[in-house]
Amino acid sequence: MTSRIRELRARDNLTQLDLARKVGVRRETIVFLEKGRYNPSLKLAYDIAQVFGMKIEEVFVF
Amino acid sequence: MRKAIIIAVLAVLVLGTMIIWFIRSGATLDFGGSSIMVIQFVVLAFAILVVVRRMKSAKQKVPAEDEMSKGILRKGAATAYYVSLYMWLAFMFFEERIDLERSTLIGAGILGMAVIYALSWIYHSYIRKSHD
Repeated sequence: MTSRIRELRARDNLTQLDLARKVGVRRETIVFLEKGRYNPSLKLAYDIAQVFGMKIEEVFVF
Repeated sequence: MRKAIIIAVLAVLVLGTMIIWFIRSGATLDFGGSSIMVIQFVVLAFAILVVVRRMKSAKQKVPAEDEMSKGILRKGAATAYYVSLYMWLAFMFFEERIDLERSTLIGAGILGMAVIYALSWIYHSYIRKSHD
């Protein structure tokens, strides 16, 4: 699974730490998500999509 | 933050107790004695690493534990349990060949389990490429 988190962060001018704080996870988790080395829970995927105002399938590509 | 302080206090207590035991038991710095010292420092280094990570998280105002770090803890524990079984088997095999008291052997086994867990956690946190 890949994600568009890095691209969307750049669009919204958010750092990894900013996004981590918004969704309540450690910065390392965002790093691993961006590298495609960790598959998030449904809740975390939903929370991240909410931050960017998008649907889960628009942020995460299966 | 509170958990980090508790871990730090526990680590100091464990180390202090081990040093007192080492001095009072009259153990020498031979292979057995120095091995125990090394294991103590590995356990202490692990505790320091955990405390530093937790304090860093507190400073950054992010949770000290999230779904990924909890997953790493679970995987680390599972791997450590599996490896520990082989360690105890090895201990049973070498028990007759090593001239150690049974209580010392059990103590070494418990310390060994702690070290295996620390190494397993480090492996899953920093070396393993994927956390899925």
